[in-house]
Amino acid sequence: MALVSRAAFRSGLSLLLGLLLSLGAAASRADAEAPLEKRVKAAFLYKFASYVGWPEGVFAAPDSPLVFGVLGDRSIAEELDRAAGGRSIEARPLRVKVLSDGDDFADVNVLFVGTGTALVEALRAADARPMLVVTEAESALTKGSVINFIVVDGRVRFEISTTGAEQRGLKLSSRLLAVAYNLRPEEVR
Amino acid sequence: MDVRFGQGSPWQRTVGAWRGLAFAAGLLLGGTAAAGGPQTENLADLSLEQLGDIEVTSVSRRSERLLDAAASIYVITADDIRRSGAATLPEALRLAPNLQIARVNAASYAISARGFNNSLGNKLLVLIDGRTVYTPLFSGVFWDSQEVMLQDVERIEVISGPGATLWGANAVNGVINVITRPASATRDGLLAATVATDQRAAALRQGGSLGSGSYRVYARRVRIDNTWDARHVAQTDAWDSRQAGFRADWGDAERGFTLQGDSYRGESERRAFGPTEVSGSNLTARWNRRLDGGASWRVQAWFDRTERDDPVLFHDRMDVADLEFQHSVPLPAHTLVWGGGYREARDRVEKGLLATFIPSRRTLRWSNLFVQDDVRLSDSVQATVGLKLDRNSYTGVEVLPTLRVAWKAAPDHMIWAAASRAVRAPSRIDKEFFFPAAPPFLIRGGPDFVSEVANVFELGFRGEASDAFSWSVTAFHHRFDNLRSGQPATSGGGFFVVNLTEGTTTGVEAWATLRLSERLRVAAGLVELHKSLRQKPGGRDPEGTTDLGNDPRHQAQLRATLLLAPRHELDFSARAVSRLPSPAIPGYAVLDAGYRWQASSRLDVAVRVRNLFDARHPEFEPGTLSQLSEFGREGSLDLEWRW
Repeated sequence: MALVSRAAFRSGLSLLLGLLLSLGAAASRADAEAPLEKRVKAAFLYKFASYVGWPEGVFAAPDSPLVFGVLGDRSIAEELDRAAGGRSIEARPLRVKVLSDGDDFADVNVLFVGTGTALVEALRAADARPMLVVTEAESALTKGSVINFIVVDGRVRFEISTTGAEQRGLKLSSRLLAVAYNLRPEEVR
Repeated sequence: MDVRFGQGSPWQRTVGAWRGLAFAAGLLLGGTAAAGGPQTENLADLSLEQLGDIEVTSVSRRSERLLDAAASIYVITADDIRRSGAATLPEALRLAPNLQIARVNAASYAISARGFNNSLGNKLLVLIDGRTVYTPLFSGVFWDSQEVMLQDVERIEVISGPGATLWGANAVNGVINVITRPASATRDGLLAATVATDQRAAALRQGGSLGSGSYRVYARRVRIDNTWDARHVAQTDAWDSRQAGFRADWGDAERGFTLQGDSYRGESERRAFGPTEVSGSNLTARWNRRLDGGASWRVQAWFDRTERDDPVLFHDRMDVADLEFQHSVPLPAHTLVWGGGYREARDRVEKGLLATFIPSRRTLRWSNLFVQDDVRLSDSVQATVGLKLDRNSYTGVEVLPTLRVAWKAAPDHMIWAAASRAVRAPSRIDKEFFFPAAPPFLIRGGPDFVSEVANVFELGFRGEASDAFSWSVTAFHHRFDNLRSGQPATSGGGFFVVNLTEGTTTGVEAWATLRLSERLRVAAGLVELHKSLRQKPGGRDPEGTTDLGNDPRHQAQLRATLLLAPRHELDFSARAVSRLPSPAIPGYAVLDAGYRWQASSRLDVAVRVRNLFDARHPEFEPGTLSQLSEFGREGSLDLEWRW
């Protein structure tokens, strides 16, 4: 009995080691992907769009596309493209545009301003248009951003400026507000 | 016995299980080439709360410290637990390759690190959110009583080897540190239900805002059916446990306050002399503050009441109160951490059929003072010097020093070495336990019993070559003295508990995780343990050294997670344990498999099969008056609904 189980164990062990070796060889072909933080932010961006009520007239038709514009972070744009690819929000197909400084934002519904561009310039260009502006910079909410990413305890969280949303005529769902890092319950009400 | 062999010999079944695993892994590997798709698709299906729960830096601030720590540390993540489908804490602990976990019967487990495993295992320190949960009765954990809401666990840090300086006496062979999420991370509702062929479990949690802070409340119930012995006769060990609790957090890392508590009740099937019943409640309060200049302090107080009625063994009422203080001061090229604590336990034991404690009432006190200094010797070399003075009611002050050196040979590779002294201070069972319950006693607690001592030497290598591949290897050598043994009484017959065994344990722990692509991740672990114990001159324990744990020489595990398609995931987990020597338990290997479907951002559905090839096996010898339980194939359907 003892011999048997020891033999079983050995064969198991050698199988295991063999597997490990072959896995090690395979490891070299692991894909290079955007860091997890960017992928999570991209996923958040996609999610945000479904929690926004847009003012009348923003979309020409019920099936006009919902456009994400990404400024100053190409990899988030790529990840967002993957996340949004083939999906739709309330019958609106999703489109992702990579923007450069000075580009026209006219048809953009969700604007992400990455750290790779001048925040104040971008926010000035975004004006008070009915556009969901998402940033990842300290005190961006006071400069006209609506949602700002922060990293807390190694996790991506976001803060919301309800006044920023109101100025742009956006209605944010209470579900989104409930998850915001900065909002206290009394502010939600 | 014939039943066992009637379905193929253990050898055939063991090999069968491994073949199945290799086949499955081959499939996975084959599948990889075609895979390589983006995981972001998958992320987009998570809820806002779930997205906010993902740790995006590969290590959080605290685990970064862990990664740099010169110790053998494995971290079980919340993701690992979710994938495993574990319904109880001991099952979740199986994920740590550096632990030895053996299920004794329905709800009892023998859990240890680096050997000395038995259901009274006493060389492990177990903490749940900073609260020590081993009982001063025998320095071990009643695993049927200590549960957590697993869905709310953030991570479980498993340190094999001594952790005496920071954590204290009893951390001889390891520390298990269960850490639940802050209430701010669980502000949603969750309902989890499991229907399995051998158990049913349900857990409900609701979180929300509370003034400027957050709270959650939870309730869970687990019902585990009778297990079977080798002749397919049901044991009367079914276990029904209920638990409810809460956690509330205010503030943040700069200045925070946490209050949490749990209350539970569990009972076994009705047995010949009545069921075993346990119950208890605990409350913990914690303050933390970070000061200007980087210094920080933490104060924690907890109270824990436990009751255990085992008609065969004893009836126990234990109240424990604990207060701890810790202050961390950054200095140029140093980080100094110092602190202290006081704990008091009031215990009352009434005799059962078989055993008693004399005196029946006892108050035990522990106090400690410790200081630990992390010194940066050069850019790549860091030393940790620590000393703890730990005072207990039985042996007075114990001195627990440690010296650890870590060399970062490359940014992602570390070599470390450590020398520590740890003790397992006497508990009531060593000094005041009597068997049977009335004279003449066959076994008597030892009035002269002193602390068991371990001098431990460790050498470790750890690497994180990339996000995709990390590994750790640790070699250890423990030299034990004054281990517990029995000694024939010079007059009056029976045996006394004394300290007349010594010896060594030597071994290796290794594990690696590998992300082959976004779709496939593999983790493997291995422990080799060689234990050599002998009686000291004059020692005449008729059982030899067999009471000091029943440990396998080899154990290994392999887990693989394959993302079949966005929201569809396949998990395999195999483990093999070699035979236990005394009493002999044959070695075994089992494969678990699970399929999980994230039906929506709110609903998860999983189907799992434990022990896929039905390799029926016992894992550990039971206690008195019980038969050996065997465990076979079990299936389960798990649902998790969030709102």
